[in-house]
Amino acid sequence: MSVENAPVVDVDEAAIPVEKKMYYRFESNDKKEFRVSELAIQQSETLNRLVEAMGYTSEDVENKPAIAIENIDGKTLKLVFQWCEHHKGEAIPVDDGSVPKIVEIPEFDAKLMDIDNGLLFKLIWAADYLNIVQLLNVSCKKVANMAQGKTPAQLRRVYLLPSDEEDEAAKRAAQEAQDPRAREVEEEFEERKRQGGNSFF
Amino acid sequence: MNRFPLLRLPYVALREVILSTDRSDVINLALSSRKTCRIINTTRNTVSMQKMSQDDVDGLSAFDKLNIACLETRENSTKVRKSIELRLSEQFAFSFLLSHYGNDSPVSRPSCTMSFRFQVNSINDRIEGPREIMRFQDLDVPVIIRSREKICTLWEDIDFGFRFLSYHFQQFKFRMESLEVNPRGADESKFSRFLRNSADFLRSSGKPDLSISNIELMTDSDLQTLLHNTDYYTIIIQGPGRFPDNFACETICLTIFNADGFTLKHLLNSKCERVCLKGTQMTSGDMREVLNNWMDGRLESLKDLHVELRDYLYIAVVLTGLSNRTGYDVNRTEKFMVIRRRDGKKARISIPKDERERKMFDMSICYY
Repeated sequence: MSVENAPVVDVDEAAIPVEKKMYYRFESNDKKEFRVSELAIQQSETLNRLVEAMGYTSEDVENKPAIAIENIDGKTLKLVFQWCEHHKGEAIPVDDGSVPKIVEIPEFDAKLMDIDNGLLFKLIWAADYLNIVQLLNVSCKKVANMAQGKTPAQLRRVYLLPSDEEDEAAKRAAQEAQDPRAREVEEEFEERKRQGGNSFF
Repeated sequence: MNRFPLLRLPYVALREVILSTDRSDVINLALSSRKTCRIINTTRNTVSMQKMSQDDVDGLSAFDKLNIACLETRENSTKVRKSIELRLSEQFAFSFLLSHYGNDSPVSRPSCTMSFRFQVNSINDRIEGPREIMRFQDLDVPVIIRSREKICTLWEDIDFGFRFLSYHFQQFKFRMESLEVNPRGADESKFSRFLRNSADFLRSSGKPDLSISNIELMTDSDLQTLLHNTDYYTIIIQGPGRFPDNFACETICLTIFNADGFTLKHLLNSKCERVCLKGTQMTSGDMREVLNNWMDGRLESLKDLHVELRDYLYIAVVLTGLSNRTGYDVNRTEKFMVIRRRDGKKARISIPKDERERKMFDMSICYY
């Protein structure tokens, strides 16, 4: 099944026919609504527990407001639910302890994640928040693959990693911001040293 | 370039990225900054020898091992002992050994060890294997990776290669464990140049042990370079071989096997605490000279002398040197002759008790 045909129903678009089985309605923080099948929701431990706790009937789903997911936007949530629909019914993977972890990215997932890094970043946040183990695995594997064959300097650029010097400078700046008097004292001390004084107090 | 803000991921996701990253890449990631290294070491995909198993270490390539050595140098952990060995022979090589000890006891066994070797080769040497490029600082060096433990670096100018690697490896600040010298099969002029080039490296890396084989193939000038520029903890020389007339060395412990070319003059010229000479051409008369010199206040650094003589040891001959002296005491027990000097220092000479010991001269110096 292609990424485009994954059966997530974006209510605003309402283009895909709804299957006759239990589904739930979710709303992103930018007010986009999605219908997602019960089986697909099982991929997300967070959502699965939530709907179980709510105990909605089919009527409730229609009559009550959509379940709000307040910290994920519509674009990201659409990807998440497309992924869940495609992989519904699949077993949740268990960590076998291997190092490095062996993670294959299926073709569907590769196409789904053929997105800019900003959206990939949001997708990983969403997978982590919604506790979708396999989506987290494949999206993190995609990020891990960015490191292949890179030197430490190249990795700093790819992953926006501060160097040790930058970390030190940030640490100093944070300390100074916490105690603005510290900088003044230091400057006064330096000035006295320049003037030849050997006692500060 | 499309960039990804890795450290802004939630920890669980960041850990997943690290766990999914190949070992070589995760080592490079750890080298990119201390902060990243610390995070990596909170996961199972660790780059710290303190957390790696022996299987993890054995699975690393030689280049990954070098990078782990870089990391261990940067972290400066006291629980990982790091040493380097320089081999100057037909092949010139730097061998590294890292050992992790679970506790600080000097007698404990390492829980994890890692060794690898970088060989300095001419680009024209015939070495089997595909060529790759390895980056040292800003220099791309062609290499042939022979195994997980051995990398041959290839140089147009082998002297430059040796100097470059010496300089590069100096930054690791590893303890210089030993220097192995064997001129057999080595090009004489190249060997001499390497010896001179290695002097700086040796001086900067601590007090190594020195091992020399085929000393007779070394020129006087090479020996001079080797022995007069660097302090060694121990020196082991494998004879037989000729020692130059002016041979002298200064070390804690000197051991020479097949020491037929090592004479009384060489012994008297050396300043060593412990000397063990096997298979010498020395006699009881020579030991008398040793005792005389000691009585005269020379050989002051000597604490233990063990010499295998050419013939049987005659204690009476050794002691004849004392006959014209005053101000000393001699005590004889069943096992020892103890000679006490005017300043209170004592030399204890063992009396051979059986046929096996008849050629052994053992002298220990003490104050009690």
